[in-house]
Amino acid sequence: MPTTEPPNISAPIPDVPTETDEAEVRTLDLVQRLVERAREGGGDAFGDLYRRYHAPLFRLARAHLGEGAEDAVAETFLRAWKGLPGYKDTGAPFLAWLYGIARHVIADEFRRRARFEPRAELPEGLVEWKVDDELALAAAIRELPNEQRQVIELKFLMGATNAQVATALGKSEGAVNAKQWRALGALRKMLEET
Amino acid sequence: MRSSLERDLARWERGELSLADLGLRHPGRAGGMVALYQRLTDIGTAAVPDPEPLWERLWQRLPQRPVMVPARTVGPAFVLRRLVARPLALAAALVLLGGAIGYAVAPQAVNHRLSSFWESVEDLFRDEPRQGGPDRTPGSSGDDEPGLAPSVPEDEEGDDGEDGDDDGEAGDDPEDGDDDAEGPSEDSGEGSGDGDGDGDDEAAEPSDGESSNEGSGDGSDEGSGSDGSSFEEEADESSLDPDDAVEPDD
Repeated sequence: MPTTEPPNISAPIPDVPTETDEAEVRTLDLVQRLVERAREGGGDAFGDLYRRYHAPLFRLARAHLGEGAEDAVAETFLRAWKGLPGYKDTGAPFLAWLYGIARHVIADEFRRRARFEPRAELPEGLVEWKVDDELALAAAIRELPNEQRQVIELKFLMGATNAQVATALGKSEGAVNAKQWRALGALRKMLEET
Repeated sequence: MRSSLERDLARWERGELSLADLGLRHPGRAGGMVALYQRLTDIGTAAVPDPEPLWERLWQRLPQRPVMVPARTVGPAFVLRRLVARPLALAAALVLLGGAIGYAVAPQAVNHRLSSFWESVEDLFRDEPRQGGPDRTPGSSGDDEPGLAPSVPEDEEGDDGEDGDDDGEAGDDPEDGDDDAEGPSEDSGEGSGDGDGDGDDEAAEPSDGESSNEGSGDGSDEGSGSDGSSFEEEADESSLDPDDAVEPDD
């Protein structure tokens, strides 16, 4: 049994908007202003959004794709730039909107790889990365039910807090917490089987 | 049992339960969960490359976006146009379309009733009440209206028209039963512009006030054994009769 104490997940993560009270409100206001300016074509504001959300998107992409995560992040922001005029603030964190785009980018990349890099035709050395522990874990995450997968990706890979995940998914924090532990239990079982 | 583990894991995550206590409460089960939790947390906090050079590269790739048109102002005119004008236009279009479809689909009898209705509406706005039409009074000029049915009050005419007795009585006349059947239709056709009136259809729709008048007119006209066109001929002949023209002078 590991002796490590859990990290304080609710502590603000520098790359992600903070959660609590006035700091959260200020961050949300700032993000809203940046988004509004970026919608109107403000490149500087979009750059600020890029710097703010690059790290969580990179971690998500790297967990699933390994190599090529930077390209996936760039593609995600490229699509976000094109899609910003149609963005509507529904109250969910902007991170959740970017997460939705990133999911599509990652899925497209998987399809592209399946088309151009069929595993059966590749030499052993080139597919070795696919059995890497992190990618095995990412593959197990993709097998989770949709909401459990979203909770794991948003909370652990992208660093969102329980409250942010709850807002993004339209669930209560208690429900998010329950889904998190069920997802971890399912992941553990899948990884033990492999 | 499972919910108990989840509850204790949540307490551990919040710092309310130590890892040792968690291990004691759920030996052999909590350890794997905590290890996985820690592994995922490490992935989520791993170092990432500096975003600045990546942003510089991305900035070069961003397409020039056209200047955004400001969001439409929600003013009174916009609300009026959106909430009132468009629904009204849509409703009007639906009513017109529905009416046109209904008219096209409805049976001929219904359409004819509608036509008769509009005729009666038109009559309401006529300067002179239409009673048989000018071609039904042979040799008469503008003062011949009383001569159409002088002995029949208007109420009686209406009753006759409604129950269609005129047609039946006239039909009893062996000489021109066909004329009776056709007479109203022809007359009504001339009067209303409904040129292809059928004898059966007319008989089936006796509510037309004009047809009652015409029916009574036919009854009186039957004696001459002619239809409207022959009336015109008679009128012409009578007006050309030199004796008639001379008599008043005598």
